[in-house]
Formats: sequence, structure tokens, C-alpha cells
Amino acid sequence: MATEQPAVEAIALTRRYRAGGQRVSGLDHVSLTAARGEVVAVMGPSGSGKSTLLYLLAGLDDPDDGCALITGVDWRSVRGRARDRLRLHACGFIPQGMSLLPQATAAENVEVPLLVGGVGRTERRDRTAEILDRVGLSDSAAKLPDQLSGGQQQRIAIARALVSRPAVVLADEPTGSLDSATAEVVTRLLVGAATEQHAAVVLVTHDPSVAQLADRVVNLHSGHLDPAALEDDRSGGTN
Amino acid sequence: MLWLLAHSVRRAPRRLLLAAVGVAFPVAMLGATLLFVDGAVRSMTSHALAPVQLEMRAVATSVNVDMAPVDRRLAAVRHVRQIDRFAAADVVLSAPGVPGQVPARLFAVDASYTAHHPWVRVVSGRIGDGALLGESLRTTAGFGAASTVTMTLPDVAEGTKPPSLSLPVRGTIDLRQANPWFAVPVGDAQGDIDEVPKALVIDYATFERSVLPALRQPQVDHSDQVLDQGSGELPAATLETHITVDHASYPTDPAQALRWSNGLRRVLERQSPGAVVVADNAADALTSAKEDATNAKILFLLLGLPGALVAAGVGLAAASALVEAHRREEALLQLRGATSGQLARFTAAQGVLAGVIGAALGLLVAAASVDAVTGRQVWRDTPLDSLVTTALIAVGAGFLTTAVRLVPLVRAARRPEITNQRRLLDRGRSTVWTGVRLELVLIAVAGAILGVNAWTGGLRQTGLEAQDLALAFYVLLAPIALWLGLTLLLVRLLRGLLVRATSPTRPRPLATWLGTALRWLGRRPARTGTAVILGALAVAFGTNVVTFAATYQVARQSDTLAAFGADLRLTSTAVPATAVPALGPEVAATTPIRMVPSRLGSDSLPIMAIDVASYRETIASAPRMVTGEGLDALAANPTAVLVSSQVADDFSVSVGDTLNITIFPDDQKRLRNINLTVAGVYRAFAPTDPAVGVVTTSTAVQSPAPADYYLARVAPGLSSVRVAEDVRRQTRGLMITTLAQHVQQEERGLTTLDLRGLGSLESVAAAVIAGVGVAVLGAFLVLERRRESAILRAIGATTRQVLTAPAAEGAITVVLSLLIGVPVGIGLSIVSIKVLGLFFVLPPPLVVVPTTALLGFGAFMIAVSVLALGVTLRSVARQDAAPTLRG
Repeated sequence: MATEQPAVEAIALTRRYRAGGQRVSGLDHVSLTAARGEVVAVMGPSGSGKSTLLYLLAGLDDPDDGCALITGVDWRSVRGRARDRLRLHACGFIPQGMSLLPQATAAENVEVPLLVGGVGRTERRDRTAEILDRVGLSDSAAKLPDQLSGGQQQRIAIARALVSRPAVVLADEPTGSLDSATAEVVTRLLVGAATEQHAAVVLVTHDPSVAQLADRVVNLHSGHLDPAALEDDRSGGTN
Repeated sequence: MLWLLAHSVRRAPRRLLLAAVGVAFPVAMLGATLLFVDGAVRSMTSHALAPVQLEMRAVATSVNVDMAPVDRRLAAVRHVRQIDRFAAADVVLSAPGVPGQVPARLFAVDASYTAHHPWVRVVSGRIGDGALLGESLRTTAGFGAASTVTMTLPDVAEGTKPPSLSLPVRGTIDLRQANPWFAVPVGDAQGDIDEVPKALVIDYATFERSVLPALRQPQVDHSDQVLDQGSGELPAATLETHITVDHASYPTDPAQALRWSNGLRRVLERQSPGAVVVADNAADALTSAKEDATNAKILFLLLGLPGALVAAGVGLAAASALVEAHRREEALLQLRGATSGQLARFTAAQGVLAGVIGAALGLLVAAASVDAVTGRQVWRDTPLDSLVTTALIAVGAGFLTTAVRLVPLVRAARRPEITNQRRLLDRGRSTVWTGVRLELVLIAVAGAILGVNAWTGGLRQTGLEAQDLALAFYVLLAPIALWLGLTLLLVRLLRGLLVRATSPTRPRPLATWLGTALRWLGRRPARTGTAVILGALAVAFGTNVVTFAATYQVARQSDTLAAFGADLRLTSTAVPATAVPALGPEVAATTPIRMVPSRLGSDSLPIMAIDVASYRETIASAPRMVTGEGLDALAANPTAVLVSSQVADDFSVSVGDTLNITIFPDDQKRLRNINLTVAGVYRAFAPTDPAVGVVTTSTAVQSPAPADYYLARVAPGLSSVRVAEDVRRQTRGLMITTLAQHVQQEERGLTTLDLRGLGSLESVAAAVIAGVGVAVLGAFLVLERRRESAILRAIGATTRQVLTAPAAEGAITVVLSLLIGVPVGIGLSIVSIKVLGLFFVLPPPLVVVPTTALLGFGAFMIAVSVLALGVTLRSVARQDAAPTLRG
């Protein structure tokens, strides 16, 4: 599927934590790539290192060993403001659970990355309206998050992740709190919109039905990537 | 439970510390105020006793009492430092070459008396083998150069030849300051000064040998010279023991000192039951001091109570930052099987522990602060009972704060977890006070209190003679209610505007990052609103204290200046008194002040006679007129008279009335009736000490006597103290008093209170409280918005952008606290001054705004807030997004 430089790449990523006075391995030499337009689902049991991998890929955490590259840039080579800018422009991140700013309306939540990036007022307005339209929430633009349903909130989170047209969308359990029907709708929206923007998607999920929508599924067990799942497998769901 | 408590403390010591600090705040504020009040009140006893010339007088019930054994017993009583024999009798004097006889008062004391009582001044000669003539007798024609005097006792029994005693004149004695000798010793009129124009002093042994036997002879009226306690006049003859009590023996608290003094009086009286009546001359001063102490306590509490309240508010706000952590801990314990009762007990135990630590911490801070401000060692100098009372009250406030904090926590322990979570979310949007319109209730209460008092005349200043007043405590609640109500109202209005401006009714693109922060602030203003309320209350409190202290100082200076009259007072010590000589260029002007004894009807009414032209040149405090004209009227009409508002009320006179006054009523040679026209009614006419009810011109009274004293104004730019020193060097026979000396000698206890110490202490505390208010806001921002900051980080916001919102909210809190707090504080000060202005003789100024002190206070508050905000922003900047987002 990928014909150019990977949008995101993990090379032998290793991350260890301290727990109960001992060093435990969260990720152990995990390598992974995702090209633009590709959707990769990361599955695995709780504590297997899925979220750890995602945060390392987003540059929100630093590996103890190995490296993570986004659009070919090693996170280790950028610090401070440059790192923030790289994340802003190259990476759309959807955290687990409630990920909207509670005091901002739906439109403002979507607009924030553009404001952060210094996009002009008119362009911000147009792009916000466009993405809200794409996720089907134009009518809810002035609503606050607590006036939206769980599914609507996740659609706003997806819109926010995509509005700055990043190369990669990283989603941590984006449907974790949704019923299965809504979860499928939301995931299809994410996959569709990202594909339309030619963005790579790495999504962490427990839900096989969600993973089914990915181009590729990788499984993590105790911080190790399951070799059996490294094949390009549209059927996913192998747990 | 104890294990769980210990484990909880080990695991989260900072949480315990924060809870303890929340208690320590109000304890420290209240404790410091109480300790300061205690110190100030304790200084009042010594201040009140200082001008008391003679503490106790044991007056024989009859001239037949043998005073020698009485004296021995009195001298043996504990706390009695010194006793002196004293006798007095009315006599009739004659001298060779002097036509007729002159009534006079004979005094007899031992020569050592003057060593213990410096207010009796021997001008020439000594008390011993002859008579010393009083200065008034010396000025009586014929007595000035008399070498002998003959005294005859009046009122001896019919058919008995009046005993007479001739004594050589050995010198002159100045009795102008010897008030106890002329004061009615006992009874209802005790302490009233009787006008005795002429007096002489002889040795007590001579009196005992030559006069007392005659006094003990049967009298005309067969009264046997028994003491009449119901009389309002000096006894015709009296035998006394003057008792000097060690001032160090009096308890420092005026109320206790008064009780103690009364007890000592009874002890002294019991030494010779029936033989003597002991009069307590210190009682009046101590009673005034006791009243002053009560008013001082009210004054200090009025100033300090808001501080304790706002400190408690900050403490509660700080502790409420722990609610979320506490909730999580309880949820964990619930999962492990803890019952709601166990949770409630655990919460209570945590609260009590924090309360105990906080109370101890608060008391230490209070003592250290008062130590630093007053320079005295509180632990050592404060009596144990006062210390215990202070500690109990302060700790009580701490535990009340703890209870207010614990009640919702214990209730929460009994509620389902989901309900608690919902409540936490709601708290970000609304607060309790907004629902009940608390601010309007408080303003209405304050308005009602002030309105009722204004209507009933409770806030009107009384005359000079009616300075004893009692403040109703509820009146003092008005400024506090206004302080709270106005602050809440202004915050509500601002909040309403902000909420309206930021309401998400229609989609509007975000403007700037700062504008975005403000827009979002408007959608959840509760936390910042609370911080602004705390900050504004603290700033208002600090501003009030600083402003009130400054106004108090100005009013106090104004009062003392009016009391003293000018830069210097010059009193002739020569006998007879002489006019003031030329004093050189350092003294710009002098004016004579004559006090003329007079009667209006049957009432004694001293007149102050002035020379209008020189008075106008010299005086430092212009007359405060109520109606009519002032000095201009006296200048235009020398027989015009100005009366005090008290005299106008008491005698029902008004402008245009004519007063028929008898001047020198006790001096047959100078006695005269004069008619004076009332030209004005004054509230204060300098010098107000001693207070006089009538002022006229020297021309009106045509007194040939020299002035009682002179007022002087020093040349511009010169120090009155320095000029006084120069004049002392250059002249003889003049006693020169400066304003500072007069203040030290005469000022009432309450108006001597130095509020600057309290002002410094409480303004620093207020600035710290305001800063802590910002810190509390910061803590909330860090704790409650951790996830929001992490989301912004995940979006790609820079550190600067992430910090914009908390920085803006902190800055807004500081700015609004100042913008609301300073005017509210000044307004509060105006109301407080209006209420407490009753303490002053002259109406105090509306308000004195000490710009430098306020700027310093503001700068300190900003510095503390910036420091607190800096800590918050640093914490936000260093926050790691990943763990937060992963929950």
C-alpha cells in the first residue's frame, strides 16, 4: 500500500517504567510503520503497551531506546517549540475518553488547532465549517461538549484531529465508551475522512469490529509485537 | 483507623499540610489580632494611672481620730509604697498691715511630702517652722511682703475664744498643680475640684500641736467635725493619710485593675474600721480605661475580624482543592469494603489531625507576627490566662473552619460516588452564594443597621463633655456586611457581564489566544470568581486597615492639636505669675489665655478669656463652629461670647441670647456681674484641654491678673521641640510644654492607641491572603485543568499557549482584586471612620488615603500573587501530558 516515505515509523521502540521499585518493560523493541492513507489498528490486552506505543509515536513520551519518526522526522531531534509545531502540523491526536475542551463549543474545539497554528481567521472559519459538515455536526457547532452525545463528542474529536490536515492521525481507543453501532459509525467516519485526506491512521482498540475497518492489524502482547500479525491483513480481528 | 490515618499521612503529607495551612490561616489572623489587642489594652492601665497624682486617700471620719496607729497599719499593707500625713482646715487669715481678714485653706504636711509628690512645688523657703503662702495668697494685697500671718479657726463653740496661731512666713509654695488637695475627698462629689482662692501650708507637727487641739473642741453646731460623705464641698477640716500605691502592683488589664484597686481600698479601710474612709482616686481613671479597653477591643475586632473571615475563606478554598483527591481516596476505600460510617470517621479523623496541626501552626505564626510588629515577647509578656483565652478563641475559629470543611466531606462520604462526581462538575459553574443573593441580603442588613443608627442619632458626635460612649456591637457589623456585600455584588456584576459576553449562543470564530482564554473563562467563572472574591475581600480588608489607621492618626493629631492649641504652652512658674518676655525670632506669635472662675446661676462655669488678635495669629486649630460666628464675632464685639454646644444644650441658650455671668464668685474684691451676648456655638475651641464651655475676650472680663498660660507659635520651618529647648535656655520662670509632652501627660487611653502596628501586621497579612487566593486559584487550575492542558499539548499547543489561560486568569484575579478591593476598602474605611469617629473630639476627616502605604500594599500583594502564580505556571509547564491523558 505504501509507496513513499512512511508517514509514521517506530524503530525498535523500547519503554520501561518503574513499578513497585522495579523496572518493568512497557514496550520492547517494537517496530512499526504506517504509510499515508493507510489505517493500522493496534490491538492487544490491557497493559500490552498499545497506548504507550501511540504516545511515543505522537512525541508525547520519550522512548528509552529506539526511535519514532513522523513524516521522516525523528522525535528525538526536535525539542520544545519545534516539537509542538511538528505535532501540530503532522499529527492529529485523539486521546482516550473525554478529549474535548469542556468550556469550548464544538466549533471552537475543532478550531483550536488552527488557532494554535496561526491560521487566519477566515480560513479557520471555513475549514472548521467544512470539517464539521464532513462529520455531520454543522448544526451542533455552538453546543458545548456536555450538550453533545458520546458519539457526537468523538466525531468532534475526529474533526479536530483532522482539521489541520495532518500526515498521521493517532487515536487511542476512540470508540471505547461508545456502543458498538455508534463505534462502527465513528470509526468509519475516522477512516473515511483520514483516507480522503491521505493521512495515515494508527488506532488503538480493543474492539475487533473496529479493527476490521483497518488496513492492517498489529497485536501487542506484554510490550512485544506479535510476529504472526505483522502481515498485511485486512481481515484483522485475530486476537 | 489509626493505622489508616498514619498511612494516609505518610502517603500524602502535602495534602495534610495544605489542610493544616487552611486552618492555620484564620487561627493566625484571629490570634494575632487578639494578641495585639491584649497588648494594647494592657498598656492602658499604666497609661491611665500615669496622671493619677494620688492613688488613695484615707480620710478620718472625725478630727478626733488618732491617725498615728491608723498610719502604721496602712503603711504595713502590701502594695502600699508610701504614706504621707495630711490635714486641711478652713481658716481666716490676717497679717500686720493688712486691713481685715481673708478666708483661706490651711494645709499641713510633713516636709518629706514634696519629695513624693512633685506636683506640690516649694518656690522658696521650706516646710517647717513657719508658713509657706500659696501663690494666690502671695498676690493678695498685703500678703506679698508679710513676714507673719495669724490664722483663726472659724466656727468654734459660742463663748469660746477662737484659737489663733501666728506663724512667721518662710516662703512661697506653688499649689496650682496640687489638685488632690482641692478635690472633694469622698462621697458623690469625690474628685470635684473646689475653687479655693487662697491657701497656705504649714508643717504637720505644728498643725498637730497648735491647730488640731482647737479643731477637736466642740463646734458651734455640735457636729464634732465629723466627715460628711454626702457633702459636695471640701470638709471644713480633715485629717488624712495620703497613700501612694505601687503602680506595678496593678493588674495590667484595666477591668482587673479596677477590681483590684477597689479590693485594695476595702483592705485599707478594714485596717481601721470606722476610723477612716478610704477614697480610691485611681478608680475614675481606671473606669475610663476599662471603657476605653472595651471600645479598643471592639475597634480592633472591627478591623481584625474581616481578616479572620477572609483568612478562613482562603483556608476553606485551599482545603477544597483537596476534595477531588479525597473523593478518589474514599472511592478506593469503598472498593476495598469500607462502610460509609467508617469513611465518615476516617474523614473526621483526618480533619481533626489537620485542625490540631493547623491551630498550633497558626498560633505560632500569630505570636511571631505580633513579636515582630510590637517588639515584645508575646509568650513571656502576656499573662497565662490571657494567653489561654486567646489560644482557645483562635483555636475555636480554627476548628470552626475545620468543621465547615468537614461537614460536606462527611456528607459526601454517605453519598453515591456518581452524585459526588456530578457535584464536582457543577461546582465549576456555580457557587452557593450566587443562588441566595447573599450580596443583596448583606447590603440590606448593613443599610438597615446604619439607617436605624443615623435615624436614632447613634452616629452623631456628642459634645466634648460627653465623651464616654459605648458602641453597640451590632453597629460594627454594618461595615463588615457592607464589605462582604459590595465585594460579592461587584464580582457578580462583572461575572454577569463576562458570562453574557461569552455565551455560546452562536458560533463565532476565535479571535486571539488571549481572547480565547477570556471567552472560555466566561463559561466557567466560578473558580476565578471565588479567587477574585477572596482577593478583593483581602485587598479591601488591607486597604481598610491601612486607610483607617492613616485617618485615625490624622484625626488623633488633629484632636491633640486642638487640645493643646498651638506649638508651645508657656506657663509662668514665678509667684506671682509674670507676663511672657520677648522670646526672639524663633517664636512667631504668642497669645495669653486666662481662665476666669465664673458662675451662671448656681452653676460653676469657667470662662476662657482670649486676646482675639494674637489668638488668631497663634492658634494651630481653628474653632469648629456649630452655629453663629467665631473669632470674627469676638473681634467685632468684645462683650460677645461663644459657648460650647454642651453649654448651649444644658443652659438652653442660642445665638443672640444674653448671659448674665458672675465672674470671680469666690473673690469678694474681684466679684463682678457681666452681661455677654452669645455670638456663636462651637463644637471645639482650641485649646480644648482643659475643656471650657464659654469663651470671651480679655476685654469683657477686664481681668488684671496675668494670664494663666500663653500659647506660642514657632516660626515656620522650625521644630517646636528645638524652639522649646532654646526658649528654656534663654528664659527663667517659664515652664514650656510641647505638644508631645502634653500628649504624653494628658491624652485619653483610646486615642493613644497606635494603630500603625496593627495596620502593618494586618496589611501584610491581607497581601499574603490575596496572594494565597491567587495561589489557591492556581492550585485549582493545576488540579482541575490538568487534562485540558494535556489535550492542548496533544494538539500541538506551545508551552506559552498552554500557559496563556492560567496566566490570564491569575492576572485577572490580581487586577480585579485590586480594582474591586481598593475602592471597597476605602468605602469600608469611610463607614468605619463614621462609626468610630465618635471617639474623637473633632469630627475626623472623611478619609485619609495614604497613597504610599497603599501603593506598597498593592505592590506587595502583586509580588506575592506573582510568586504564587509563577509556581502554578511552572507546575503547568512541567506537566507531562501522557500520564494525564492516559488517566
